[in-house]
Amino acid sequence: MSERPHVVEFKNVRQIFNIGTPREYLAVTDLNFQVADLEGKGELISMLGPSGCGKSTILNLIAGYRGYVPPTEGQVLVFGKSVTGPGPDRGMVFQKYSSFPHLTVLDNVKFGLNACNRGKPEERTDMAMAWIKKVGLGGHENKYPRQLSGGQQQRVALARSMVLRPRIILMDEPFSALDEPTRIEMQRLLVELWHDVEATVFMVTHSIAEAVYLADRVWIFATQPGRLAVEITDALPPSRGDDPLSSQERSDFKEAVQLVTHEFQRVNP
Amino acid sequence: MANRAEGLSTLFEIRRPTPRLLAWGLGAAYVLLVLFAWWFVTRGAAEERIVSPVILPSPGEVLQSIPMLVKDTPRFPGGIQRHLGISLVRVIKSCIIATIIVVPLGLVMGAYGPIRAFFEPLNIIAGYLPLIIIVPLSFVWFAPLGGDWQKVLFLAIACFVYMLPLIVKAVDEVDEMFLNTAMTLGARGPNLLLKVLFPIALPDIYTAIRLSFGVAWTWILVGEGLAADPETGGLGYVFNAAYRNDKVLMYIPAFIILVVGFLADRILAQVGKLLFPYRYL
Repeated sequence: MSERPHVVEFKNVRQIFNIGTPREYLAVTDLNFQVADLEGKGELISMLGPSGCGKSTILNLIAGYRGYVPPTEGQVLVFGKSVTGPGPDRGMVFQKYSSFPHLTVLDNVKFGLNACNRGKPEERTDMAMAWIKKVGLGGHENKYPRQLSGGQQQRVALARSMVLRPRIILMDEPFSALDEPTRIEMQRLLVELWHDVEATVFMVTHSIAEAVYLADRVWIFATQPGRLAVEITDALPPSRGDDPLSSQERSDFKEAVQLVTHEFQRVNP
Repeated sequence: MANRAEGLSTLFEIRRPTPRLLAWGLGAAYVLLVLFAWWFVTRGAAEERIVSPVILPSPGEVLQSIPMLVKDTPRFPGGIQRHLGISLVRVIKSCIIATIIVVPLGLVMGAYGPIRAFFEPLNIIAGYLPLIIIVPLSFVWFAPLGGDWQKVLFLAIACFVYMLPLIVKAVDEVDEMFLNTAMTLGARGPNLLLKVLFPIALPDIYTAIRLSFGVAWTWILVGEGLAADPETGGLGYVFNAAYRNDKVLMYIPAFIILVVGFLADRILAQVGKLLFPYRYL
């Protein structure tokens, strides 16, 4: 079998902020993990942990934002190469609504296509419209972000990322600011879009039910210093694709939530 | 009676919004009260007045001064309406000149650290320099350019000094998240400035331009007062000439400066709503 580079690999990563100041702060330490590139399908990794455990730091390290390149120590590799900065191969969905306020839904989704020079200019509208429809915003393409609800704004963020077909999607509590019914609707949508993108998703969440429902793997982090404490894979019931609400009623799903909760409490006493 | 008292105490609840019509009426009542007080202290024959006409003319006397201001006279050639036009054109010119320089400068200062560091002294000067010092200085510096440019360039400095910190701040306040998002979507280099920072900061930049117009407008009193002649006058000249000659003539130009400044600001605010509809949806 030929060596396929890992989607993401962290080697002894340590990230310290404000080095040499009184506010010096060790965000994460001893991070070592690999996420394999699975042919034709991606994985979804849910990241759970108390505030300050470095979950978002890991997303920012993978994204390569300013202040995270390079990490204080160690190596962050994406497809075998050190991360040198942000790029369209790694999409990002923030908790805060990040749609450009001066652009319509359509232009927001076209932004990346234009920036990356993807497709012929005259095809970009169709490419963007296809994704706008997939995320259920058909008919809203000429609205501005301020005219949209929180759930709709996160749909724009999803469409805008996915139209570029990134191999990695980073989601930092994307649905945390939404009310419960909208949140369930968005989980359903995310699963639906799954088949199209075949990306590896890293999703920070505070909801154990959401983590169990969506994930192939759940990572639980501990704090002070932030570190990856437990990985849970085999205890998760295959629920993705089922309805989020009815899944939560199943006994194997409830057991998995209990297990994850128990582990969470064990590593964060 | 109990009901009315209750109504009053409700109206005076802390931070309770006042009904629009009532708010409007209260504002009008204030103006009427001031006018009444003015009339009251200046009523009757000159020697019987509470306030002497040397200190404050009566409303009637001010109204009677209007024909003297509107008439085409050697002191006010073309009448005050011509001078209003002169002042407006000057302030518009100065605002445009300042905008052309300060918007690109503020943008690159907000975007690029070294440029900001280089121009930081200018930003400090802009923030703390008393403009009144610049009035005589600018008249010395710009004297070779002639009367009109002297005044326009002084007003442009006033606009510039007011706008620069506001524009740098507008660029600073664009959330880092938008830049991170844009980079994640593949935007690079100058595109981050032109497609992200600039358009997102633009409504605030426009507000800075609008406010600087108002500031420049208030400075015409000083800017047009110095090195003024009747031909190239302006409202500032009219006001200052009145102060030196016939003080009753000061009130109408002052009133016009106030009203035009207010109206221009309202109009520019409405234009802003048309230019940036997405912000007001």
